[in-house]
This record gives sequence, structure tokens and C-alpha cells, in this order.
Amino acid sequence: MVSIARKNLFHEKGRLVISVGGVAFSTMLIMILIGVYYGIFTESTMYLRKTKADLWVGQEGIHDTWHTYSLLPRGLNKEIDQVGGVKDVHEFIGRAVRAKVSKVNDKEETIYIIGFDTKSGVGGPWEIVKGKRTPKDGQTIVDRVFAIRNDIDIGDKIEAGGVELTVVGISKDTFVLVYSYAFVTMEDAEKIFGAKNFVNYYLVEVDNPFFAEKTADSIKNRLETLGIKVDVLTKQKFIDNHKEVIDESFSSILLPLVFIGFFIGVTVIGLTLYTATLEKMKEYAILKAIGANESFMTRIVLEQAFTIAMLGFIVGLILSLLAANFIPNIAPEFYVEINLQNIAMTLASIVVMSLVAALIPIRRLESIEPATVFQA
Amino acid sequence: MNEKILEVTNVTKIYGSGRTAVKAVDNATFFVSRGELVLLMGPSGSGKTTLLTLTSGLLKPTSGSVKIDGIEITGLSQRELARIRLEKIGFIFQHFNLLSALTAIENVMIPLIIRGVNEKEARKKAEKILADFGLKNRMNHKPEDLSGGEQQRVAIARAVISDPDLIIADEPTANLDSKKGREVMELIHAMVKRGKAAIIASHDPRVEDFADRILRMEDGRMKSDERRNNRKKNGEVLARA
Repeated sequence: MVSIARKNLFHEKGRLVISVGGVAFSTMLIMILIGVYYGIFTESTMYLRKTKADLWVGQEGIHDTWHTYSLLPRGLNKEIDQVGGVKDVHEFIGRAVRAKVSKVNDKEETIYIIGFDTKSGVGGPWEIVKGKRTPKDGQTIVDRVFAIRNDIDIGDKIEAGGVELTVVGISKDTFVLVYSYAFVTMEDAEKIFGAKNFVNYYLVEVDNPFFAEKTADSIKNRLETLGIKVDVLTKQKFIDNHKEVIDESFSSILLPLVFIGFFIGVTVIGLTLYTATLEKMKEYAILKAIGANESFMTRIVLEQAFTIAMLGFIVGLILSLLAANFIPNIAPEFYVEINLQNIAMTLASIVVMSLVAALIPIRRLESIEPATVFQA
Repeated sequence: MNEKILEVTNVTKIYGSGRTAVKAVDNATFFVSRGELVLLMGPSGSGKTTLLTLTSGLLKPTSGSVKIDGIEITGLSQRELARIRLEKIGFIFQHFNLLSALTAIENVMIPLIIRGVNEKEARKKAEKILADFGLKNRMNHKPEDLSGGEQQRVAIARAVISDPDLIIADEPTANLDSKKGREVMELIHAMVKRGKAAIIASHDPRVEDFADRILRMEDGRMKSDERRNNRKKNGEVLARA
């Protein structure tokens, strides 16, 4: 079908390029911001998702590993193991501490030390980019971002809680926004935290994840009979709790920025359409004079708006994907996740953007007087 | 089928109100029948263009009646008026008024596209008309690449593609040299002789030769309605400029 809208747009190629560029920039801004949010969420909950634990047993009142503290007596794993539906139980000791990075003049940085069961590997790193997967006493596996940032390599030493640790492995995807994980043996963790008879969590594998909640209740009840009050959270619930914290912390920053991106897009499309409408007032009057009704005219503006929006979106998507791959090279702590949900949300924003932007030009078209076609 | 395609009765148009009120058309009454080419003449400011806008439903008269093919249009909604213009009227303008982003053939197709005719059919019809009008090799050119005469022929093709009953033209030859002007008038005349009707506002004396009747206006009033007798029955023009 001959599209007057598209013909009009492509007739003014310079303006089209500027408009598409503006929408692409807006798309990129929105997509990268949403991507950063998803990236933070993914990185922050990666440990929970990768660790082979269906249930997290912690002190009563636990919510997440960042803001609530859990301390439980050691040795409960035998009790938990006897609960029906439990397949295996592992101890977990983990806390954020300040660590001296000896290579960089006693510089200190916060790391989250995790003591894990090195025999089963549960709770330990899941992807190693260099060196060993399992540390021995006096050894640690640090995160890739931490290593890059502090110029640390295999054989280098760091010091945490007065314990010197030799880096024997470098792990991937173990960075959590403000700090990274460092994996050590349970024994070293006890030394670093000075807590010999305590653990922070018990990680429980269940026989059938479908009945995880039921098993969680059973564990809670069993430990209560021993006078130990605990909360047992499923993996998903624990992940959701962390997401809640991220939402609370970042939505107030990200939402205004996403809104700015949206506003830029609306302005660019709106100004383009409005200028194009004003420039072609006489031609729109001709269309009205020869019999085009309001809905035909509205369709022209909407089609122009959607064409700009979709072209801008496609360009913006390509640029965002390139940027998402490039950003970690210059800022390894940033992980931009462009997933289908992110793309769908941005696309929805762009569609709404084009509708909002088309409103004023549509109103302007309605007011065009077709009788002006007889004027010189 | 109504023999009188256009009936204008006691039409008055007043712009503004109170002391600043201007009577652009004052109590005009005339009709145009099928097969008739009516010329509307008069000096600048006499109300010719206003009368054309009133007869085409682009403006509503202050009082009076305008009927197109028997339909009273003064009380119709904008949507209904658009439909009447689309189906019953073909417009030809002094400045051609083609859409600059479209090619000649696309411009001609526009009325059919507005009517919802599929592209293939619209294109076929437009190709035929443009070929009939001697523009077969200029169909895919944009208006800026066409001469004035070619642009006006495209405009006429656009005006007649939906087979309207009435052609309304405002100074269709004003921007054309005498040869091109005559060609344009011959095209309009040929349409009229196929059972259409045309009302043309013009200063151009060459147009008089094609007219069946001449309406003369002055200060918004209809001064005369004169039937021309210098024509053969078969439509051949006797006197030409």
C-alpha cells in the first residue's frame, strides 16, 4: 500500500536520521538502565542461584544476606539431615570483612568471605577462569573483577581478619555490586571471623524440590523442639528477598533516569512529527479537501510516529547490545543484562512514547482548515 | 440520477461579525447540470473562490442551500462532507497541489487509497489514466521533476480517478502557457462531455471558449448567467484563443 506517512518521512532523510538517532539514544538509555538493574539483580543473586541449596536455614528473622545477620550453633546439620525429604546439609560461614590487598600498598577493600565445605564443593565457586577450584587452608579463590581492580593474580596474597591468604584461583560471576566473594576453607573462615562454634547458615539439598516448602516447615519444627528458633527459606524466597532489597535501593535512582530517557524519546518523536506536520500543513489540507477523514489523517501521524519509533528502537537495540558487551571491558564491575524482558519493556516504552508524541500533531491536524487549499 | 449535479440557492457567506463583517458571497443562486462546463468569472475579490469553497462543502454558508447530486450538504457533519467530496467531487487547483513526497502515479492513486481500494487496482487505474493523459513515461517522477503542464495533468488525473460527478477547478490554467492551458482545458472538457459537470473559476479568457455557461460575479453578487452558443453539439470548440 502506498504509505503517505512513510513517503513523507523518507522524503526528508536528514530529519529522519536525526529523529531515528534521537529515539535510538532514548532506547539505549532506557535499555542500558534497565540492563544495569537486571545486571545488578543477576550478579547479586548469582550465588544463591548457583549454589546447590534448595533451602537456607538461618536465624529467626533472616531476610537477606546483606542486611540481616544470622548466627546458628554448629553441628545442627546432623539434626537437619534426619528430617524427612532432606538429601544433604552443608555448613556456610560468610560475612563481609575488610581485606588488605598486599600488592597495592596495604590498600583495603571489602570482600565477602565465604567458608564452604571443600569436600562437597557446595557453597563454593561455580566457575573458575584461572587456577584451582578448591582452596586449602591458607588459600583463597577471589573474584575476577576484584582481581582486575587490584591487579591480583595467582600466587598473590591478601589478608583478611589477620589471616594471610594466597590466591590460588580466580572465579567468575562472583561480584555483588559493592563487594566480591572470596572463598576459603571452613577452618580459615572460623579464624577470620573468630567464631569457632557458629555458622551463619545451613544449606540444605532436598530430595524433591517440589516439596521444598514442606521440608522447610519440618526443619523449622524439628529445630524448635530443640529450642532453636530458625527461619527456613526456599531458594526462590531468598532470591526474592534480595530482589526486594535491590528494588528498594535502586528504583529511586533508576526510575527517574528511565523517565528521562522516556522524556527524551517523546520530545524527539513529538518535535519531529510536529515539525513535519507544520511543514506539510498545505498537503494535509489537500488530503482533507479531497475527502480524507479524521481517522485517515490520524493514521498518517500514528504511522509516522511508529515508523520513527521502530527504526529508532532497532538501531537503539543494536547499539545497546554492542554497549552491553563493551561496558564490562572498561568497567568490569558493571554487568548490563539485556534479556527478553528488558527488550519487551523498552519496546513497550517506545510504543507508548510514540503514542504520546503523536497526540499534539494529531490535534494540530484536526484543526487544519481544508478550505485553505484554494489559497495561493 | 439527478440532472442538476450542483444546485446553489440563495447562498450567502459573511466573514466576521458586527462592524468588521464582510459579505463575501451575497445571495448567490445557480445550478450546474451534467454535461455542462460552467465558468465562474469576475475580478479578484469578487467572491469566486469563496463560492467554490461553499459549493464543495469546504466552508459552510451563513445562509442558503447547497445540493450536490440532490443531497443538501449544508447540514452535514465533517465526516459526511469528506465522504461527499471523496465520492462526488474532483478538485483541480491553480497551484496543482500535488503531494511532494509522492510520485505522479501515487498522487493519482490517493483518492482511491482514501476510499480503501487495494493498491494493485488503484495503481492499474492510475496507470491507465496517466497513459491517457500522455504521462506514461512520467508516472514515477515526483512533482518537482514535472513541468507545470504535466503537474496539472497529474492533478486532473487525481481529480477524475474516482469518477466524480462534479469537477471544481480554481484557475486551472493560470500557471500554464497558452498551449498547456489549452491542453488542460481540453482534458476537463472531455470529462464533461462524458457526463460529468465542471465549475471553473478563472480570469483566463481562453477558458471562455470551452464554457457552456458563464456566471459573472462582482462584489459577492451573481451579476449574470449567460449561456454560450458558440459551440457545436458534439462538443467541438469553435473559437479558440
